[in-house]
Amino acid sequence: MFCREHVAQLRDHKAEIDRRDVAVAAVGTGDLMYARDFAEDKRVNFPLYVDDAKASYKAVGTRKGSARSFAKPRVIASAARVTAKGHIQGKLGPAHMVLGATHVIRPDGSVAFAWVNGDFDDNADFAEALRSLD
Amino acid sequence: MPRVQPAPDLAERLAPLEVTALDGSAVPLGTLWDQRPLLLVHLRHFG
Repeated sequence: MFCREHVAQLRDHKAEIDRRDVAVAAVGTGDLMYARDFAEDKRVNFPLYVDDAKASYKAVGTRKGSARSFAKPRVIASAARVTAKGHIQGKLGPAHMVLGATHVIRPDGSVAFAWVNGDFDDNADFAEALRSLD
Repeated sequence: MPRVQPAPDLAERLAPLEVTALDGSAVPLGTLWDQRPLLLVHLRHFG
């Protein structure tokens, strides 16, 4: 459900991202059919890619979540907040314990923003990420 | 804090790695930021 909220936020930020002349791409794990279903269901309006080998996840240093995190009061509260907004948990992917990350990379290869999720509900703020280019 | 200091060679290491587009084509990540900045999001899963 946190992924669904995160993708919805990205979709909603798309106009601002375009205005800034910034490209956007999201990467996930699993097979292509799973990704296509997700893109259709979430009305994804930006390029979506699959990295089932998780090589790029390893390169950016994503962390793994713990089942114990689901019992943390903060995560429970976040889950309730996200669910109330209509982001219901979908089918779990094969690597659903691998946490996410967000980066802003300039054409010269410098990294303006780097965020590696510390827990399931710990997604980066896209507005903050974009401000790193100011 | 999840905001981290990236490795100095992060983009260099990411650039040759290929991801698969929804049409099945292989795309080297580096081609996604060679013209303009890229907001790159790694999702936990498509769930």
